[in-house]
Amino acid sequence: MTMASEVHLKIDGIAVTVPTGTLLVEAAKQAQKHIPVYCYHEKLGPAGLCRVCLVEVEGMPKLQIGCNTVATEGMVVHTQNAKVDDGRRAILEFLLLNHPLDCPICDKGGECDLQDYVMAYGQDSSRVIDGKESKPKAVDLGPTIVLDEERCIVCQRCVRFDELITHERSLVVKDRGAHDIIATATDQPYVSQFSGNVTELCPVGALTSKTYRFLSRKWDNHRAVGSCAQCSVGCGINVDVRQGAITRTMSIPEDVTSDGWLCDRGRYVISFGDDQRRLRTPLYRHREQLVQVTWDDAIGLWAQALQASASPQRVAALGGGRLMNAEILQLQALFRSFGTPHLDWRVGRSQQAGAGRATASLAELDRAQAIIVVGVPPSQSAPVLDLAIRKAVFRHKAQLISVGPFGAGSSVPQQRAARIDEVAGLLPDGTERIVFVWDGIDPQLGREIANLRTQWSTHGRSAGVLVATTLSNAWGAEALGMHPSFGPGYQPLASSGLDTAGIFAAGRAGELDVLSFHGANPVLTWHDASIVREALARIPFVVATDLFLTQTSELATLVLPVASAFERNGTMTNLFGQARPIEAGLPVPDGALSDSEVLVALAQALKIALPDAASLTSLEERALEAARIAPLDCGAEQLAGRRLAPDRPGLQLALAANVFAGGGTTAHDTRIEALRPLPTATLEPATAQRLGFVAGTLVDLHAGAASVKNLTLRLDASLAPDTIALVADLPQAPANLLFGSEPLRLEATRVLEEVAA
Amino acid sequence: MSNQAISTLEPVPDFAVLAAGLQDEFRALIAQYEDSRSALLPIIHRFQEAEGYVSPQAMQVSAELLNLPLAVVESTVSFYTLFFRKPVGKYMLQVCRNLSCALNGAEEIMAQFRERLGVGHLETTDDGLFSYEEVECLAACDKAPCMQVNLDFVYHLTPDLVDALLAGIRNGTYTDTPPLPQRAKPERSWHVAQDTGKKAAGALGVSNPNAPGGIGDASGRAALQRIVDDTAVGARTHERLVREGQAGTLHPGKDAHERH
Repeated sequence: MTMASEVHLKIDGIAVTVPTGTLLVEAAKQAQKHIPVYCYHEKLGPAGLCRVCLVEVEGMPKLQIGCNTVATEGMVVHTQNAKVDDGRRAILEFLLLNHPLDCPICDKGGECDLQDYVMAYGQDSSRVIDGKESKPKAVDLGPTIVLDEERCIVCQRCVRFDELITHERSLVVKDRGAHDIIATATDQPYVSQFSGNVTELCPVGALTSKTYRFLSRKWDNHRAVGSCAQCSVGCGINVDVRQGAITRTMSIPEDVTSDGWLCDRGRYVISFGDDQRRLRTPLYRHREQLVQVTWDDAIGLWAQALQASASPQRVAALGGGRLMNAEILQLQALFRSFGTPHLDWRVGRSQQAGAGRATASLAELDRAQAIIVVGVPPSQSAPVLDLAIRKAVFRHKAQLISVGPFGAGSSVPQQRAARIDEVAGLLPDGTERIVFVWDGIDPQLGREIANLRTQWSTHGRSAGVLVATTLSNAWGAEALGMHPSFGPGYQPLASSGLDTAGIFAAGRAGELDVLSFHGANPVLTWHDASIVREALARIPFVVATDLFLTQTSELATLVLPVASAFERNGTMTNLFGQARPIEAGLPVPDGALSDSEVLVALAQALKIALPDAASLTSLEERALEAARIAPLDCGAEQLAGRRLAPDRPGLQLALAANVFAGGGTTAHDTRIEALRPLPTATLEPATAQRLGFVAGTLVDLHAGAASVKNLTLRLDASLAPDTIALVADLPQAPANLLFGSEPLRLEATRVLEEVAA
Repeated sequence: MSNQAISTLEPVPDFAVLAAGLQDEFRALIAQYEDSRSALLPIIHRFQEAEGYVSPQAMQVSAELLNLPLAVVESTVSFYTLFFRKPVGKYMLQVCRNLSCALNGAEEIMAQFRERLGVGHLETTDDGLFSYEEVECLAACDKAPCMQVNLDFVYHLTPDLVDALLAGIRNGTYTDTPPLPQRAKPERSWHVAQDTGKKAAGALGVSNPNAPGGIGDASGRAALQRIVDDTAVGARTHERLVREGQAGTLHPGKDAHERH
């Protein structure tokens, strides 16, 4: 007997047809009937724990749970009748037995499923005469989450999220019956890059975000619906604003790009806009001091400096990876119209942002038989992409191979390869669908990926590529013309300008008059800090548009305060090549302008005509379309044959990424103190033993005359041997001071007492 | 009182020695199952047999052996009343307080244990011989009221049987179940507090539900006393207790007396 692919059933008298295997709770949606659920969740599946989804199925003596009963042919289901109502009322009374009913002080009030369902299906009074179970009300689960054990109804959505989605399994239920609680292992805090999602999954007010506790009511929030601008994934987000401040960001469950999840950076780095240190007026360097000037004066000074330059060849502009697509187009149009060819978006370690027509789709990643993570893994730079990888690995049994000094996330089983050419040997026969996830840092690796793809294509293997970085609009900047050799849409230019390295070299040689940074902080992020500082010291007029005085903007001649991504509308191009909408939740603060307004003002002062809004839109569309069919290595052309770092004898330096590093927004968000990475140096245990270091030692790392001090030594078995890993872009320990070929020297300054004892 | 049971105990070896000695046994256990996680319960049982309780190190080693997060091991161990997460007496007395046993006189049995031992729920006697716990259904409803002594069943409990059992253990004539090993004298309470040590102080009413006399201590004398003392339900409960001839042992509250 073959199984029919569809079954027909009646729900509250409405005939529905659903695929075989559909659960009643899903089938009811087709009949537009609502079945209340707590433990059931579309992405977590049924658990059968809460019993609130009771329905009557004719022919079955007892009420059945809608979340775990499969629709069968001819079934007659009632989601609303006296028997069902009675059952639900009893379940809700049971769930409220020990519930504190502290809705007036509960953050979930107004958006709580328990509150809503008790109003809809429950009874208005309690029959309980005994005291309620008393449990801890504010358990500090970890750096981000507080647990109210009394409110918890033990639906285990959080536990199942931790098991089925992140595969980290640090949340569990402890004890039993009325005493059971959500907990971590003894003395271990709940630490996860995705911890905030449990607060959204929680159907009651048990799990709350520390950043949102007692801050706002749902109905006091105004909501902007857009995308996150904090890494290259561009997850859909809801931005909730109350009285001119962002109270929280929440995921969009239907969003395909993020699969409805957010990482903790996207969720918690929201308060920097209100920081006291936010720039509110243009600053101009006068007698070594930065003094406040008006916008008119600031734009005038900039225009004057540009016009005073002997030649547009002595002008350069860097950045754009954090601007909107339209702003990037304006930026490159302005400087190209002015006559300068020296434009580049590459101000950090990323050297290539797009993968052109080789770009894998999310569906291809999901269906891949093998995923090859090359370089800095997305778990460090674009966390939600790592969730998609975990899904492919755990649910669809994709094989994960990581190439480079770091593993691809510790909770995921993987094979390790030191070099790309080892990868082919690790792939089993019959592996046809492959996706590379590359950090875009080492052009040499990019070329090897391209070669492997070409080689494989003749063997029937297809390999897509995704370039994952923390820079939100890197591909937009590259594809829309912030590139020394290409205009928008990778249109080759008649003659190439200088790339970032060339611009800094020219600056150091005294060959530049004006250099502007547009949302860039290369003193902290460029792989060699010293050349940037030397160049800035020699260039007479340096402009920086930024939200704060960063390591770079504090050295500028002119600092222009601009709007953050929460304060302006536009689009950004994510790593899948999609233009993601960014919606302003807040107005541009007084005293600041958006980058677009700054560029328009400068263009006016220079009497340069910029494209209007309509032509920017069509130009953006055409350029991104061209970007999606461009060759894989288009963005890397300039770098062919160049090595990023000179060879270094002995211990090798590996730079890890961290989504909470950086000198801008994350450094100026006082509410994420606990999430910011500490300055650490990581060694593989055997290497540490050979060098004679133990975990917890305070060390200084020297290369020649440069050094990074006060690093706490950690051991990590997943790191490659003979390698020392530092977190890049960390203001208090800038790893880019150590660039060069001089051997690394590790020096212990102090052994932490608790470790030594 | 004879301390024969105590003097015949062998010392528990150091944990590292113990774990090393059990490695082969564990490997064989793990090999029996398709999914290595299935070996968790037998391994934990084996540790408890050897140490007298499930120590934090035992949970850590089990987690490493089976490649499970420690949280998962702790979750499993905390679910079962047959695992003791703190050092306990040499005889663990677990009396059922659930429905069938309660209907068959478990309340009286529990009251008797508490009185004879001088301890309450989740406590150990001062001599370290007995630990006492009132547990949920032990799945022997047909032989209610029932209990377990070191996880071995004793059925059809009566007050006389309780006295005979305690006397037998004290004078060394009770041989049905061997004593648990014991490294050192256990503390009086073996209740495992919820892990809120490093966590923020609660806003309101943080209490320990499992503590003797706490709200979770629902079965024993304290709970009955609460019901009897409650003016709202006291009358009805007292009536029943008088009918069943138990009222005298429970010292009903003053109000309840006066109403009758």
